[in-house]
Amino acid sequence: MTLTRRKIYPAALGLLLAAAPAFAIDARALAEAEIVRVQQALQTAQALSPQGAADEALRRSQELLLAAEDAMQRRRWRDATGLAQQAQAWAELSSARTRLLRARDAVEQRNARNADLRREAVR
Amino acid sequence: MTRQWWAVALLGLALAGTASAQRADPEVDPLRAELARLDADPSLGELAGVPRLQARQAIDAVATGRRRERPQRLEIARLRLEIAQAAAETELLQRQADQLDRERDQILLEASRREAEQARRDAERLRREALLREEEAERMGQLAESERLAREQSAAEAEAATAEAEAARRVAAARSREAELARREAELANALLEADAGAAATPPPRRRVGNRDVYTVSGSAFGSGRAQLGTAAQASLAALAPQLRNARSISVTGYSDSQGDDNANLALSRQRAEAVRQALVAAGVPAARVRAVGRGEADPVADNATAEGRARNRRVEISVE
Repeated sequence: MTLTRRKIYPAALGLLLAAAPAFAIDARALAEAEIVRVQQALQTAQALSPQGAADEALRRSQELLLAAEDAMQRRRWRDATGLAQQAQAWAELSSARTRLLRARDAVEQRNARNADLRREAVR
Repeated sequence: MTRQWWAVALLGLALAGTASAQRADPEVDPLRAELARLDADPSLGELAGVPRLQARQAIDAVATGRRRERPQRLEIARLRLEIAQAAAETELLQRQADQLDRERDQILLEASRREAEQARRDAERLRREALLREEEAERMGQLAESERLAREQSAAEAEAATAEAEAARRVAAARSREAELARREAELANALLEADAGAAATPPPRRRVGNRDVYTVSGSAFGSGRAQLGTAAQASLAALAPQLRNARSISVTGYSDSQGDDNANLALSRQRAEAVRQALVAAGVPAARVRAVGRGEADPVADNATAEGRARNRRVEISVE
């Protein structure tokens, strides 16, 4: 029995069709995991910035999370994963900006405090 | 031949891939350049390693992703790059904050040392001040004590001077009183002798001294402080005169007590001796044999400290040989 193109192509197509559900399950799991990560990152960002509702990055992350969840509802796993990764980046940016502001404040406060101590020490 | 064709095809694909990788991408290249600047930054390049790695992966993913997903991956790459920059800057600021905390500790430590040194200096200054105050108090105490002693000494001296003056005043009063009494005594004696003048006159009392007879004319024979013989005394000498007419030599010596000026006493004793001599001569005793001398308060026969002794010392002695 020889394998001709007429026999190989249908066989390959059948294999692909048979494996399609498995690929679909991996894509869904990946999207769900990304959404969980986004939710955790958003919680961290909101905890860092209690007034985060006014934070543009935070708001953008929340919007993207909603879009990702909507894509999940429509079973568009790859779109959901991409949106979740975007939301994740915005949430992490919000946290990074908050940390940066806090670090600047801390340095300014310490500078002022040390200056006061030096003045006090000189008196 | 078929193998050669396969090799050429693979080489072509590789070259095509390399060319694609090196092809300029106006959207990705600025991100790479920004990441390269962050890596090269001397203060930030070593910081935030994980976020920088994530940014690099995100930038690489732009080139390798699907075309449809490119805008989304570009945005993620930009976000990751900003996150890396913020994280690096945050880490640098945290290091600065730590350094400032260490500086604060150092400042507090130095302040604490300075305070301790200041406290030590203050304690030393207070100790010296206390010592000075103590010395000053001791000096003031000594000064007050010396002043008190000086006051007491002055008071004692003043008291002694007062007492001495009082004693001198009392002595002077006593002497004045004594002189007054002596004068009255003499006046009374004179009055008594004069009252007895009419009675039989007797020679002055005699005593024997060696080979000479010594007659003593009492000082009461004269007025107080005077050299004139009273009537009784003249009578007594007149009674003595007959016994002296045959004498070879007659020495009349006047004496006084110790009160008063020495020269005045000597002169008075001499005058009284001369008065006795003249009384004897007047009574018939040859004048050539009688000589008179005054010896003042010399050769006292009694204590000059008592009125009785002084009365006995006031006398004229007639020594007959």
